Amino acid sequence: MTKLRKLSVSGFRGARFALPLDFTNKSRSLAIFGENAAGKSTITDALEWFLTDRVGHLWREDCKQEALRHVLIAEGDDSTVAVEFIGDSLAGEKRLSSALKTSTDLANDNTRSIVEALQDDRIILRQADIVAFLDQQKGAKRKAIADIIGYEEINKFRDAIQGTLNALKRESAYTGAKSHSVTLEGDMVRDVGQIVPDRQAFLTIAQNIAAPFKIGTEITDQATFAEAVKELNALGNSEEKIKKAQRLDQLVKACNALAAEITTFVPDAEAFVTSYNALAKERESVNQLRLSDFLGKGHAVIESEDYVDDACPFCLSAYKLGLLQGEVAKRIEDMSEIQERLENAKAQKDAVLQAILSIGMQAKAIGETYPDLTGFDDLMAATTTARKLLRAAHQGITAAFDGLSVYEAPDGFEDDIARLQHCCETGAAKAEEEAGKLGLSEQEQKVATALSSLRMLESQVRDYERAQRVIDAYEAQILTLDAIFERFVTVQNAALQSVLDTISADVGKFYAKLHPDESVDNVRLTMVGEEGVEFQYAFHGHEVQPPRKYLSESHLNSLGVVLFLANARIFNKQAKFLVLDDIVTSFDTSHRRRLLRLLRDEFSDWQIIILTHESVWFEIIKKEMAQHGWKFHEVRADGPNGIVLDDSPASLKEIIAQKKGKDDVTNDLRKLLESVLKEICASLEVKVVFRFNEWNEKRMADELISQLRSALGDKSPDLKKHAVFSDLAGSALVANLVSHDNTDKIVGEDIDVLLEDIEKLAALFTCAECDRYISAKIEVPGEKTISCKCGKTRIPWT
Amino acid sequence: MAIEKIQSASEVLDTFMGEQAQDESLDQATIAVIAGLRADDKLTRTNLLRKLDEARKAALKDGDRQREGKS
Repeated sequence: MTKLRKLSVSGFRGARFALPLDFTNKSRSLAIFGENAAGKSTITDALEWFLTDRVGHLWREDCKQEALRHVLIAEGDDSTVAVEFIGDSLAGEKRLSSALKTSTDLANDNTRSIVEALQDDRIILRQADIVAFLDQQKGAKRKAIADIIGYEEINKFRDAIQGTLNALKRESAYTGAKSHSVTLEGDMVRDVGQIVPDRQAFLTIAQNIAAPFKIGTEITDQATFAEAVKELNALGNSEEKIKKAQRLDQLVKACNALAAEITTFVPDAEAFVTSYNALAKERESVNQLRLSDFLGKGHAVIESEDYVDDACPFCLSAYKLGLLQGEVAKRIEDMSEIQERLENAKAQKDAVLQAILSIGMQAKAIGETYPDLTGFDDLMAATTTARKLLRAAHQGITAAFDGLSVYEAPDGFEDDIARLQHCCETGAAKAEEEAGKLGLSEQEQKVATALSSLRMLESQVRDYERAQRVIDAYEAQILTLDAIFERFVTVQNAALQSVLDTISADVGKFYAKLHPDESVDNVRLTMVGEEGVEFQYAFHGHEVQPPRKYLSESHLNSLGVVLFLANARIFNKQAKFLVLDDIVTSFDTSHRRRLLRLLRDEFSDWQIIILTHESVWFEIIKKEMAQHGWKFHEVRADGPNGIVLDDSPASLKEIIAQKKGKDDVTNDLRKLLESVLKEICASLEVKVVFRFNEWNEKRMADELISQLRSALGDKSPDLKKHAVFSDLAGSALVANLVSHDNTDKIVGEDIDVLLEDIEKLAALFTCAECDRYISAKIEVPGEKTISCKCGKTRIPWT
Repeated sequence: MAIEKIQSASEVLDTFMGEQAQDESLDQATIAVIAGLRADDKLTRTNLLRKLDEARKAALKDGDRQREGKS
């Protein structure tokens, strides 16, 4: 796995000039302090951009490449981020030109594959990421978790199946075929008293229709049907007249059917437009329906017996509970009325659209089947005009309803539909009149009617079969996708829960390390509802979720942090380094220390980079982690020069080493001695005189040495005689000390002598193995000694 | 840590699709379309809708051809 050796940033974000970070060949961990707006996040952004070609928090705000270049970088200069990984020649540089062109130069294929693998790992955690994750709803958490653990493909698969399934169910070819099929069934029942599902059934009915005419052919298949039609046509004196009469009869039926449908359609359409437009004018109220789930759940909460606070449970503002209950109930009632109206309008809309499609298809059939008949020009023209307007009306209604805007019918729509109806009525009368003029005998009339029925039914059956085939084709796919989706949700949840169980082991363990002895335990991630993911935990022994229910901001923050750490440890395949950018804002001091101990104990072989704007936290990190080889830097904004990076000494010894020969280090030496003595006294439980508050901290070295020696006199007399005590007591640092404002300077070799003495003192009570002080709490059984934590260093203690 | 027990997303999907391909109650043309798009890393709603449209048209054409053959 990979760690960082060097990172260098220039002309990028806040860094105008080179900002080099050297993690050394040991890929040391690093803490960086910088005041707010000092530009420390430049380092995180640079690393993210180098690895992923983007900076998430900037890209989300639509601030892209132009936001990466330092504002004062020269026009011809590139912004650069160079990274060197631990390993043999594993390095690369990414550049962003003034034309915002990105180029990447990686040393070799090994580097390329490492960078590619790092792109799949979670490396950077920012405070905003934690807040965003915790605020997500359960479904979104599932997606986020799936992304984190590399289950994006599962999300993608699920979304593709579900999206396709929903789209297929709505496709107009499918819904149109279904509605056409229903219409045809109605027509067939009306005409022949039954649904004729296929060609074979049609042939049986055709035989029944032809039978009274006693023709020689029995209809059993397509060939005998054609023969029978010929024979029927030949029964009269004029085959042509019969054919024409048959067509005119069909036209009469078609015109009457269309006119009847328009008669029903017009008032239905008017009713829809009136009720829908009234709703569209109350758009704000309809939009409020989005809140109905929220209000419903909120109502359940404030109506429950457990909720007795005079405050809104959502915003926590003070509010009389009775008043709140009444107002929420009223809003829910108002919403249910709007919801009902919206549902009615939707049903009306679907029916109107259905009717428009049906009228359009009938008009099309008339226009395309009878254009050759003379005397029907008005009818033909009316079908053409009406179809155009019907199409426009269909589109207009769909768009208006989707956008919840007021619907206006196309210009001339009502007049043209009325004209079409009128033309159908006059066309039917005209066709009847034309048929009468043919002078058919009674027998010929019966033949014409029978043939007309056969043609009509044949056409209906053909259309019906076609519609059924379309429906079948869709439903085979829809049923399959439906089944797949349902099964996949189960598989997805099981797979995700197995991963969650694995992560949860670490999440629970890490959380317990951050919050020991608290009432929260068994913290884990679990599937909830059909497809959600949520943190669950036991609070005073009771299972609870979601986390916001009882956890404080700091505890919520902990959840986000431990999830990130657990995920990194389990799922990061390449990165063995993590960047924690200002993530402990809401932690108190003790939890910050615990976080450091968690990192120390569980991530000792990881490279950690912590950025913070809090000096107290930075000092805690120094104190806790300097002994584990961490490096420390401070960044500051230097006006137009951009970010400047300084080393930050981790200990007083380092400060003294830096200042030696240049500045007075007397005070630093004093502080160092006091600090070492305080640690020893605390560890050995040396008793000192009680003092209030800060006065307790202001104890001076002479008092601490004296009390330490006194305690050693009782417990470990030989140690009391150690020369280092007399050396220190007699040193200029202690002997001349009368107050913290002592002005006598310690210079030259005296500094080294004193440092040596302080080290000797510390070494007497510190273990070289575990680097911990010997503690009065750790008594070695069977021996009159006490030891350090690892037990390898002991001192006599009676 | 039992990391090895965790199936990757691809493994989960491979197993799942393999099981669906054995299920005769499902439309295997649809299963084949999904599997094909997955193999090409092109499984999106739009692509799937297009491929299913093609599959329906092909099925309808086959049906028409068979009916014509019979008549």
